[in-house]
Amino acid sequence: MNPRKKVDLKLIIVGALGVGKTSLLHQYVHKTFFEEYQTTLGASILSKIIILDDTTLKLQIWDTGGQERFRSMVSTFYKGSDGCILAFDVTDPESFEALDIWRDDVLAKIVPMEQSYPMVVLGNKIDLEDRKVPQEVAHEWCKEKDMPYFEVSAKNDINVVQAFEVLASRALLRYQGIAENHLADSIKLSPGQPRSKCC
Amino acid sequence: MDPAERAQAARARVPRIDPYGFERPEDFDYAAYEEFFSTYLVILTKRAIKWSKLLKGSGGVRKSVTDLNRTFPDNVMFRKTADPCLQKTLYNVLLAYGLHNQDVGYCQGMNFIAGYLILITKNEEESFWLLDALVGRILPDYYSPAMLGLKTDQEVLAELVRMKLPAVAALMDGHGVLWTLLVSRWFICLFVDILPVETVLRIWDCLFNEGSKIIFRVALTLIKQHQEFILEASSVPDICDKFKQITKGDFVTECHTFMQKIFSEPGSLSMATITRLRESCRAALQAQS
Repeated sequence: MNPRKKVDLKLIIVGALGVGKTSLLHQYVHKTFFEEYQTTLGASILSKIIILDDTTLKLQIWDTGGQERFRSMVSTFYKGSDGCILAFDVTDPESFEALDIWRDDVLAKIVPMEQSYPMVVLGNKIDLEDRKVPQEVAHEWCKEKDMPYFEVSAKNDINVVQAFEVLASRALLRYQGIAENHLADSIKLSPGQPRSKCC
Repeated sequence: MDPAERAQAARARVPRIDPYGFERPEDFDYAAYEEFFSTYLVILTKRAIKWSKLLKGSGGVRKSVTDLNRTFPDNVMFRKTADPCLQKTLYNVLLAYGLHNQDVGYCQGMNFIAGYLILITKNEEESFWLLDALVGRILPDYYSPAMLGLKTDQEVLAELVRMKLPAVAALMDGHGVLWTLLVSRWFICLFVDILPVETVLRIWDCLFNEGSKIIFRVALTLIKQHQEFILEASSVPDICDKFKQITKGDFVTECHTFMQKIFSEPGSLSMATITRLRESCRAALQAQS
Protein backbone atom coordinates (compact mmCIF):
# COMPACT_ATOMS: atom_id res chain seq x y z
CA MET A 1 0.00 0.00 0.00
CA ASN A 2 1.18 3.44 -0.78
CA PRO A 3 0.15 5.82 1.97
CA ARG A 4 -0.78 9.17 0.55
CA LYS A 5 -1.84 11.36 3.42
CA LYS A 6 0.92 12.95 5.45
CA VAL A 7 0.34 14.43 8.88
CA ASP A 8 2.74 16.09 11.33
CA LEU A 9 1.93 15.51 14.99
CA LYS A 10 3.55 17.05 18.03
CA LEU A 11 3.58 14.81 21.11
CA ILE A 12 5.02 15.56 24.53
CA ILE A 13 6.17 13.37 27.40
CA VAL A 14 5.97 14.63 30.98
CA GLY A 15 6.33 13.21 34.49
CA ALA A 16 8.39 13.39 37.67
CA LEU A 17 12.19 13.35 37.83
CA GLY A 18 13.85 10.07 36.94
CA VAL A 19 10.76 8.09 35.88
CA GLY A 20 12.46 7.24 32.60
CA LYS A 21 11.03 9.69 30.07
CA THR A 22 14.21 9.87 28.01
CA SER A 23 14.67 6.07 28.22
CA LEU A 24 11.14 5.48 26.95
CA LEU A 25 11.65 7.85 24.05
CA HIS A 26 14.96 6.33 23.06
CA GLN A 27 13.52 2.85 23.26
CA TYR A 28 10.65 3.90 21.01
CA VAL A 29 12.63 5.97 18.50
CA HIS A 30 16.04 4.29 18.44
CA LYS A 31 15.32 0.82 19.88
CA THR A 32 18.10 1.29 22.41
CA PHE A 33 18.31 1.35 26.19
CA PHE A 34 21.04 2.66 28.44
CA GLU A 35 21.12 1.90 32.15
CA GLU A 36 22.14 5.46 33.00
CA TYR A 37 21.02 8.64 31.33
CA GLN A 38 22.17 12.16 31.80
CA THR A 39 19.61 14.48 33.39
CA THR A 40 17.43 16.13 30.74
CA LEU A 41 17.44 19.88 31.15
CA GLY A 42 14.88 21.94 29.29
CA ALA A 43 13.56 20.15 26.22
CA SER A 44 14.77 18.20 23.23
CA ILE A 45 12.96 16.86 20.19
CA LEU A 46 13.08 13.39 18.65
CA SER A 47 11.38 12.52 15.37
CA LYS A 48 9.93 9.28 14.08
CA ILE A 49 7.94 8.48 10.98
CA ILE A 50 5.27 5.80 11.26
CA ILE A 51 2.48 4.58 9.01
CA LEU A 52 -0.96 4.27 10.52
CA ASP A 53 -3.75 2.96 8.28
CA ASP A 54 -3.35 5.00 5.10
CA THR A 55 -1.55 7.93 6.69
CA THR A 56 2.12 8.69 7.08
CA LEU A 57 2.64 10.26 10.49
CA LYS A 58 5.66 12.36 11.21
CA LEU A 59 5.87 12.33 14.98
CA GLN A 60 7.74 15.14 16.64
CA ILE A 61 8.17 14.01 20.23
CA TRP A 62 9.24 16.55 22.83
CA ASP A 63 11.22 15.24 25.75
CA THR A 64 10.96 17.55 28.73
CA GLY A 65 12.89 17.48 31.93
CA GLY A 66 14.11 19.38 34.88
CA GLN A 67 13.01 19.89 38.41
CA GLU A 68 10.15 22.12 39.59
CA ARG A 69 11.94 25.39 38.90
CA PHE A 70 12.35 24.54 35.21
CA ARG A 71 8.61 23.96 34.85
CA SER A 72 7.69 27.50 33.84
CA MET A 73 10.17 27.38 30.97
CA VAL A 74 9.38 23.85 29.83
CA SER A 75 5.60 24.23 29.98
CA THR A 76 5.67 26.83 27.20
CA PHE A 77 6.43 23.89 24.90
CA TYR A 78 3.13 22.15 25.70
CA LYS A 79 1.33 24.67 23.52
CA GLY A 80 0.25 23.32 20.17
CA SER A 81 0.85 19.69 21.09
CA ASP A 82 -1.51 17.03 19.73
CA GLY A 83 -1.11 14.53 22.56
CA CYS A 84 0.72 13.76 25.75
CA ILE A 85 2.33 10.85 27.54
CA LEU A 86 2.11 11.00 31.33
CA ALA A 87 4.87 8.82 32.74
CA PHE A 88 5.49 7.54 36.25
CA ASP A 89 7.71 4.95 37.89
CA VAL A 90 5.87 1.95 39.42
CA THR A 91 8.55 1.74 42.12
CA ASP A 92 8.08 5.39 43.13
CA PRO A 93 4.62 6.21 44.61
CA GLU A 94 5.37 9.94 44.66
CA SER A 95 5.81 9.94 40.91
CA PHE A 96 2.34 8.36 40.60
CA GLU A 97 0.75 10.83 43.00
CA ALA A 98 2.27 13.69 41.00
CA LEU A 99 0.36 12.68 37.85
CA ASP A 100 -2.65 14.81 38.82
CA ILE A 101 -0.49 17.91 38.88
CA TRP A 102 1.24 17.06 35.61
CA ARG A 103 -2.10 16.41 33.93
CA ASP A 104 -3.63 19.68 35.12
CA ASP A 105 -0.51 21.56 34.14
CA VAL A 106 -0.61 20.22 30.58
CA LEU A 107 -4.36 20.78 30.21
CA ALA A 108 -3.98 24.35 31.43
CA LYS A 109 -1.27 25.14 28.87
CA ILE A 110 -2.63 23.62 25.68
CA VAL A 111 -4.71 26.04 23.66
CA PRO A 112 -7.63 25.65 23.46
CA MET A 113 -8.16 23.87 26.74
CA GLU A 114 -10.16 20.75 26.07
CA GLN A 115 -10.99 17.54 27.89
CA SER A 116 -10.75 15.39 24.75
CA TYR A 117 -7.03 16.17 24.41
CA PRO A 118 -5.39 12.73 23.96
CA MET A 119 -3.33 11.47 26.87
CA VAL A 120 -1.99 8.06 27.77
CA VAL A 121 -0.44 6.99 31.05
CA LEU A 122 2.70 4.86 31.23
CA GLY A 123 3.77 3.05 34.40
CA ASN A 124 7.45 2.43 33.68
CA LYS A 125 10.10 0.13 35.21
CA ILE A 126 7.89 -2.96 35.61
CA ASP A 127 11.11 -4.96 35.15
CA LEU A 128 12.22 -3.94 38.66
CA GLU A 129 11.57 -6.10 41.73
CA ASP A 130 10.46 -3.50 44.24
CA ARG A 131 7.22 -2.37 42.66
CA LYS A 132 5.20 -0.08 44.96
CA VAL A 133 2.26 1.21 42.90
CA PRO A 134 -0.25 -1.67 42.43
CA GLN A 135 -1.47 -2.18 38.91
CA GLU A 136 -5.13 -1.95 40.00
CA VAL A 137 -4.61 1.42 41.65
CA ALA A 138 -3.03 2.87 38.53
CA HIS A 139 -5.74 1.30 36.36
CA GLU A 140 -8.52 2.71 38.52
CA TRP A 141 -7.08 6.23 38.40
CA CYS A 142 -6.73 6.14 34.61
CA LYS A 143 -10.24 4.72 34.16
CA GLU A 144 -11.64 7.58 36.22
CA LYS A 145 -9.90 10.07 33.97
CA ASP A 146 -10.71 8.10 30.83
CA MET A 147 -7.09 7.63 29.78
CA PRO A 148 -5.56 4.38 28.47
CA TYR A 149 -3.03 2.87 30.86
CA PHE A 150 0.05 0.87 29.88
CA GLU A 151 2.44 -1.03 32.09
CA VAL A 152 5.77 -0.69 30.35
CA SER A 153 9.48 -1.33 30.61
CA ALA A 154 11.83 0.85 28.61
CA LYS A 155 14.61 -1.54 29.57
CA ASN A 156 13.00 -4.73 28.26
CA ASP A 157 10.97 -3.01 25.55
CA ILE A 158 7.61 -4.13 26.91
CA ASN A 159 4.51 -2.32 25.62
CA VAL A 160 6.44 0.79 24.61
CA VAL A 161 5.54 0.74 20.92
CA GLN A 162 1.89 -0.09 21.71
CA ALA A 163 1.60 2.86 24.09
CA PHE A 164 3.08 5.37 21.66
CA GLU A 165 0.94 4.08 18.80
CA VAL A 166 -2.29 4.29 20.75
CA LEU A 167 -1.44 7.90 21.56
CA ALA A 168 -0.49 8.59 17.94
CA SER A 169 -3.76 7.16 16.62
CA ARG A 170 -5.82 9.16 19.12
CA ALA A 171 -3.90 12.28 18.29
CA LEU A 172 -4.55 11.62 14.60
CA LEU A 173 -8.29 11.22 15.19
CA ARG A 174 -8.39 14.49 17.06
CA TYR A 175 -6.36 16.16 14.33
CA GLN A 176 -8.75 14.91 11.65
CA GLY A 177 -11.71 16.03 13.75
CA ILE A 178 -10.28 19.52 13.97
CA ALA A 179 -9.54 19.55 10.24
CA GLU A 180 -13.15 18.54 9.48
CA ASN A 181 -14.51 21.20 11.77
CA HIS A 182 -12.42 23.80 10.01
CA LEU A 183 -13.72 22.60 6.68
CA ALA A 184 -17.31 22.67 7.95
CA ASP A 185 -16.78 26.14 9.35
CA SER A 186 -15.38 27.53 6.18
CA ILE A 187 -18.20 26.04 4.10
CA LYS A 188 -20.74 27.41 6.51
CA LEU A 189 -19.18 30.82 6.69
CA SER A 190 -17.90 31.67 3.28
CA PRO A 191 -20.89 32.16 0.94
CA GLY A 192 -23.29 34.96 1.48
CA GLN A 193 -21.85 36.11 4.76
CA PRO A 194 -20.49 39.61 4.90
CA ARG A 195 -16.77 39.48 5.40
CA SER A 196 -15.52 41.30 8.39
CA LYS A 197 -14.00 44.44 7.08
CA CYS A 198 -10.32 44.87 7.39
CA CYS A 199 -8.03 47.54 6.01
CA MET B 1 59.98 43.80 70.32
CA ASP B 2 62.15 45.90 68.02
CA PRO B 3 62.19 45.27 64.28
CA ALA B 4 65.44 43.29 64.40
CA GLU B 5 64.07 40.95 67.03
CA ARG B 6 60.83 40.55 65.09
CA ALA B 7 62.73 39.65 61.95
CA GLN B 8 64.77 37.16 63.92
CA ALA B 9 61.67 35.54 65.40
CA ALA B 10 59.96 35.34 62.00
CA ARG B 11 63.09 33.82 60.49
CA ALA B 12 62.93 31.08 63.10
CA ARG B 13 59.31 30.24 62.26
CA VAL B 14 59.19 30.49 58.45
CA PRO B 15 60.85 27.60 56.56
CA ARG B 16 63.98 28.38 54.52
CA ILE B 17 62.49 26.63 51.50
CA ASP B 18 59.13 27.83 50.17
CA PRO B 19 56.21 25.46 49.41
CA TYR B 20 57.25 25.42 45.74
CA GLY B 21 60.79 24.20 46.49
CA PHE B 22 62.65 27.48 46.05
CA GLU B 23 65.23 28.49 48.63
CA ARG B 24 64.44 31.90 50.01
CA PRO B 25 67.02 34.57 49.10
CA GLU B 26 69.40 35.98 51.72
CA ASP B 27 67.59 39.30 51.91
CA PHE B 28 64.10 37.70 52.19
CA ASP B 29 61.83 39.79 54.43
CA TYR B 30 60.59 37.12 56.83
CA ALA B 31 58.67 39.56 59.03
CA ALA B 32 56.67 41.03 56.12
CA TYR B 33 56.02 37.58 54.70
CA GLU B 34 54.82 36.25 58.01
CA GLU B 35 52.49 39.20 58.41
CA PHE B 36 51.02 38.65 54.93
CA PHE B 37 50.65 34.95 55.51
CA SER B 38 49.00 35.24 58.90
CA THR B 39 46.27 37.39 57.35
CA TYR B 40 45.74 34.85 54.60
CA LEU B 41 45.82 32.00 57.08
CA VAL B 42 42.80 33.50 58.85
CA ILE B 43 40.86 33.36 55.57
CA LEU B 44 41.94 29.78 54.87
CA THR B 45 41.01 28.73 58.38
CA LYS B 46 37.62 30.43 58.16
CA ARG B 47 36.95 28.60 54.92
CA ALA B 48 38.04 25.26 56.35
CA ILE B 49 35.77 25.72 59.38
CA LYS B 50 32.85 26.74 57.20
CA TRP B 51 33.41 23.74 54.98
CA SER B 52 33.58 21.21 57.82
CA LYS B 53 30.42 22.70 59.37
CA LEU B 54 28.57 22.45 56.06
CA LEU B 55 29.53 18.82 55.69
CA LYS B 56 27.98 18.04 59.07
CA GLY B 57 24.76 19.90 58.27
CA SER B 58 21.70 18.33 56.73
CA GLY B 59 18.05 19.13 56.15
CA GLY B 60 15.73 19.45 53.19
CA VAL B 61 18.56 19.97 50.77
CA ARG B 62 19.72 16.41 51.30
CA LYS B 63 16.63 15.07 49.57
CA SER B 64 16.74 17.52 46.70
CA VAL B 65 20.24 16.60 45.54
CA THR B 66 19.00 14.07 43.04
CA ASP B 67 21.15 13.74 39.99
CA LEU B 68 24.24 11.95 41.26
CA ASN B 69 23.91 8.87 39.09
CA ARG B 70 22.76 11.03 36.20
CA THR B 71 25.87 13.19 36.07
CA PHE B 72 28.41 12.07 33.48
CA PRO B 73 27.36 8.39 33.21
CA ASP B 74 29.94 8.32 30.41
CA ASN B 75 32.81 9.26 32.73
CA VAL B 76 34.69 6.33 34.29
CA MET B 77 35.44 8.31 37.47
CA PHE B 78 31.74 8.97 38.08
CA ARG B 79 30.66 5.34 37.73
CA LYS B 80 29.30 3.55 40.78
CA THR B 81 32.01 0.94 40.33
CA ALA B 82 34.86 3.50 40.29
CA ASP B 83 37.19 3.65 43.26
CA PRO B 84 37.17 6.31 44.50
CA CYS B 85 33.76 7.12 43.05
CA LEU B 86 33.34 10.84 42.41
CA GLN B 87 29.57 10.61 42.93
CA LYS B 88 30.19 10.85 46.67
CA THR B 89 32.46 13.88 46.23
CA LEU B 90 29.84 15.48 44.00
CA TYR B 91 27.18 14.83 46.60
CA ASN B 92 29.23 16.52 49.32
CA VAL B 93 29.91 19.60 47.21
CA LEU B 94 26.28 20.00 46.10
CA LEU B 95 24.87 19.35 49.56
CA ALA B 96 27.28 21.80 51.15
CA TYR B 97 26.43 24.40 48.53
CA GLY B 98 22.70 23.95 49.06
CA LEU B 99 23.19 24.56 52.79
CA HIS B 100 25.53 27.49 52.23
CA ASN B 101 23.28 29.29 49.72
CA GLN B 102 19.79 28.38 50.87
CA ASP B 103 18.02 30.83 48.56
CA VAL B 104 19.30 28.78 45.65
CA GLY B 105 19.52 25.31 47.22
CA TYR B 106 20.20 22.65 44.65
CA CYS B 107 19.39 23.41 41.04
CA GLN B 108 19.89 20.95 38.22
CA GLY B 109 22.77 22.03 36.04
CA MET B 110 24.91 22.77 39.09
CA ASN B 111 25.70 19.04 39.14
CA PHE B 112 27.48 19.32 35.79
CA ILE B 113 29.39 22.44 36.82
CA ALA B 114 30.45 21.00 40.17
CA GLY B 115 31.35 17.77 38.36
CA TYR B 116 33.83 19.60 36.12
CA LEU B 117 35.27 21.54 39.04
CA ILE B 118 35.86 18.24 40.86
CA LEU B 119 37.49 16.64 37.82
CA ILE B 120 39.87 19.59 37.50
CA THR B 121 40.70 20.41 41.13
CA LYS B 122 40.37 16.85 42.49
CA ASN B 123 39.40 18.56 45.72
CA GLU B 124 35.98 18.90 47.38
CA GLU B 125 36.59 22.08 49.27
CA GLU B 126 38.18 23.95 46.35
CA SER B 127 35.37 22.82 44.08
CA PHE B 128 32.88 24.19 46.58
CA TRP B 129 34.47 27.64 46.68
CA LEU B 130 34.80 27.80 42.92
CA LEU B 131 31.13 26.84 42.60
CA ASP B 132 30.32 29.62 45.03
CA ALA B 133 32.34 32.08 42.97
CA LEU B 134 30.34 31.14 39.85
CA VAL B 135 26.86 30.79 41.29
CA GLY B 136 27.11 33.39 44.02
CA ARG B 137 29.09 36.11 42.27
CA ILE B 138 29.94 35.71 38.58
CA LEU B 139 26.64 34.54 37.12
CA PRO B 140 23.39 36.46 37.55
CA ASP B 141 20.57 34.55 39.30
CA TYR B 142 20.49 31.62 36.87
CA TYR B 143 19.79 28.96 39.49
CA SER B 144 17.42 30.60 41.97
CA PRO B 145 13.89 29.13 42.06
CA ALA B 146 12.45 31.74 39.66
CA MET B 147 15.48 31.40 37.34
CA LEU B 148 14.94 35.00 36.34
CA GLY B 149 18.59 35.62 35.50
CA LEU B 150 18.58 32.68 33.13
CA LYS B 151 15.35 33.72 31.44
CA THR B 152 16.69 37.25 31.18
CA ASP B 153 19.97 36.21 29.57
CA GLN B 154 18.18 34.03 27.02
CA GLU B 155 16.16 37.11 26.01
CA VAL B 156 19.33 39.21 25.97
CA LEU B 157 20.89 36.73 23.55
CA ALA B 158 17.76 36.92 21.41
CA GLU B 159 18.12 40.71 21.30
CA LEU B 160 21.82 40.51 20.47
CA VAL B 161 21.07 38.11 17.61
CA ARG B 162 18.35 40.49 16.41
CA MET B 163 20.92 43.31 16.35
CA LYS B 164 23.89 41.43 14.94
CA LEU B 165 22.43 38.54 12.93
CA PRO B 166 18.95 39.64 11.84
CA ALA B 167 18.48 36.81 9.33
CA VAL B 168 18.79 34.20 12.09
CA ALA B 169 16.40 36.17 14.30
CA ALA B 170 13.91 36.26 11.41
CA LEU B 171 14.18 32.48 10.99
CA MET B 172 13.39 31.94 14.69
CA ASP B 173 10.45 34.33 14.56
CA GLY B 174 9.16 32.71 11.37
CA HIS B 175 9.01 29.30 13.01
CA GLY B 176 7.93 30.62 16.40
CA VAL B 177 10.93 29.03 18.08
CA LEU B 178 11.69 30.10 21.61
CA TRP B 179 15.38 30.63 22.29
CA THR B 180 15.08 28.68 25.51
CA LEU B 181 14.55 25.52 23.47
CA LEU B 182 17.91 25.97 21.76
CA VAL B 183 20.19 27.59 24.28
CA SER B 184 18.96 26.99 27.85
CA ARG B 185 21.59 24.31 28.36
CA TRP B 186 24.35 26.59 27.07
CA PHE B 187 23.60 28.95 29.93
CA ILE B 188 22.66 26.48 32.69
CA CYS B 189 25.58 24.11 32.12
CA LEU B 190 28.06 26.75 30.94
CA PHE B 191 28.71 24.66 27.81
CA VAL B 192 29.52 21.48 29.75
CA ASP B 193 28.49 18.52 27.60
CA ILE B 194 27.80 20.92 24.74
CA LEU B 195 31.34 21.79 23.62
CA PRO B 196 34.55 19.71 23.86
CA VAL B 197 36.10 19.58 27.34
CA GLU B 198 39.22 21.60 26.50
CA THR B 199 37.13 24.30 24.88
CA VAL B 200 34.82 24.47 27.88
CA LEU B 201 37.79 24.89 30.21
CA ARG B 202 39.22 27.69 28.08
CA ILE B 203 35.84 29.41 28.15
CA TRP B 204 35.67 29.01 31.94
CA ASP B 205 39.08 30.64 32.34
CA CYS B 206 37.63 33.71 30.65
CA LEU B 207 34.39 33.39 32.59
CA PHE B 208 36.20 33.47 35.93
CA ASN B 209 38.36 36.30 34.71
CA GLU B 210 35.96 38.51 32.78
CA GLY B 211 32.50 37.57 33.95
CA SER B 212 29.28 36.30 32.46
CA LYS B 213 29.51 38.40 29.27
CA ILE B 214 31.73 35.67 27.85
CA ILE B 215 28.72 33.37 27.51
CA PHE B 216 27.18 35.77 24.98
CA ARG B 217 30.45 35.99 23.07
CA VAL B 218 30.60 32.20 22.74
CA ALA B 219 26.94 31.89 21.77
CA LEU B 220 27.14 34.68 19.17
CA THR B 221 30.33 33.25 17.69
CA LEU B 222 28.77 29.80 17.28
CA ILE B 223 25.69 31.25 15.60
CA LYS B 224 27.55 33.73 13.40
CA GLN B 225 30.09 31.19 12.18
CA HIS B 226 27.30 28.85 11.08
CA GLN B 227 24.77 31.41 9.99
CA GLU B 228 24.36 30.08 6.43
CA PHE B 229 24.02 26.53 7.72
CA ILE B 230 21.37 27.51 10.28
CA LEU B 231 19.42 29.42 7.62
CA GLU B 232 19.01 26.20 5.62
CA ALA B 233 16.65 24.88 8.32
CA SER B 234 13.03 24.53 7.25
CA SER B 235 11.28 23.26 10.39
CA VAL B 236 11.50 23.43 14.17
CA PRO B 237 13.21 20.02 14.59
CA ASP B 238 15.55 21.09 11.80
CA ILE B 239 16.55 24.23 13.68
CA CYS B 240 17.11 22.20 16.86
CA ASP B 241 19.25 19.77 14.95
CA LYS B 242 21.35 22.54 13.40
CA PHE B 243 21.92 24.10 16.80
CA LYS B 244 23.19 20.75 18.02
CA GLN B 245 25.51 20.34 15.06
CA ILE B 246 27.12 23.76 15.35
CA THR B 247 28.53 22.75 18.74
CA LYS B 248 30.54 19.95 17.14
CA GLY B 249 33.44 19.70 14.71
CA ASP B 250 36.79 21.34 14.00
CA PHE B 251 35.65 24.87 14.67
CA VAL B 252 34.99 24.18 18.37
CA THR B 253 37.69 21.54 18.81
CA GLU B 254 40.46 23.97 17.80
CA CYS B 255 40.04 25.71 21.12
CA HIS B 256 42.89 28.20 20.69
CA THR B 257 41.54 29.61 17.44
CA PHE B 258 38.04 29.41 18.83
CA MET B 259 38.96 31.56 21.82
CA GLN B 260 40.47 34.18 19.52
CA LYS B 261 37.33 34.15 17.41
CA ILE B 262 35.02 34.79 20.33
CA PHE B 263 36.75 38.12 20.85
CA SER B 264 36.69 39.15 17.20
CA GLU B 265 33.65 37.57 15.52
CA PRO B 266 30.75 39.01 17.52
CA GLY B 267 32.21 42.53 17.20
CA SER B 268 31.90 45.09 19.94
CA LEU B 269 29.93 43.97 22.96
CA SER B 270 30.16 46.55 25.67
CA MET B 271 29.18 45.83 29.24
CA ALA B 272 26.96 48.90 29.01
CA THR B 273 24.96 47.25 26.22
CA ILE B 274 24.63 44.01 28.16
CA THR B 275 23.56 45.83 31.31
CA ARG B 276 20.99 47.89 29.42
CA LEU B 277 19.57 44.81 27.67
CA ARG B 278 19.49 42.86 30.92
CA GLU B 279 17.53 45.63 32.58
CA SER B 280 14.95 45.92 29.82
CA CYS B 281 14.55 42.16 29.31
CA ARG B 282 14.20 41.55 33.04
CA ALA B 283 11.57 44.27 33.32
CA ALA B 284 9.64 42.77 30.38
CA LEU B 285 9.74 39.29 31.94
CA GLN B 286 8.59 40.59 35.30
CA ALA B 287 5.72 42.44 33.64
CA GLN B 288 4.63 39.20 31.94
CA SER B 289 4.40 37.14 35.11
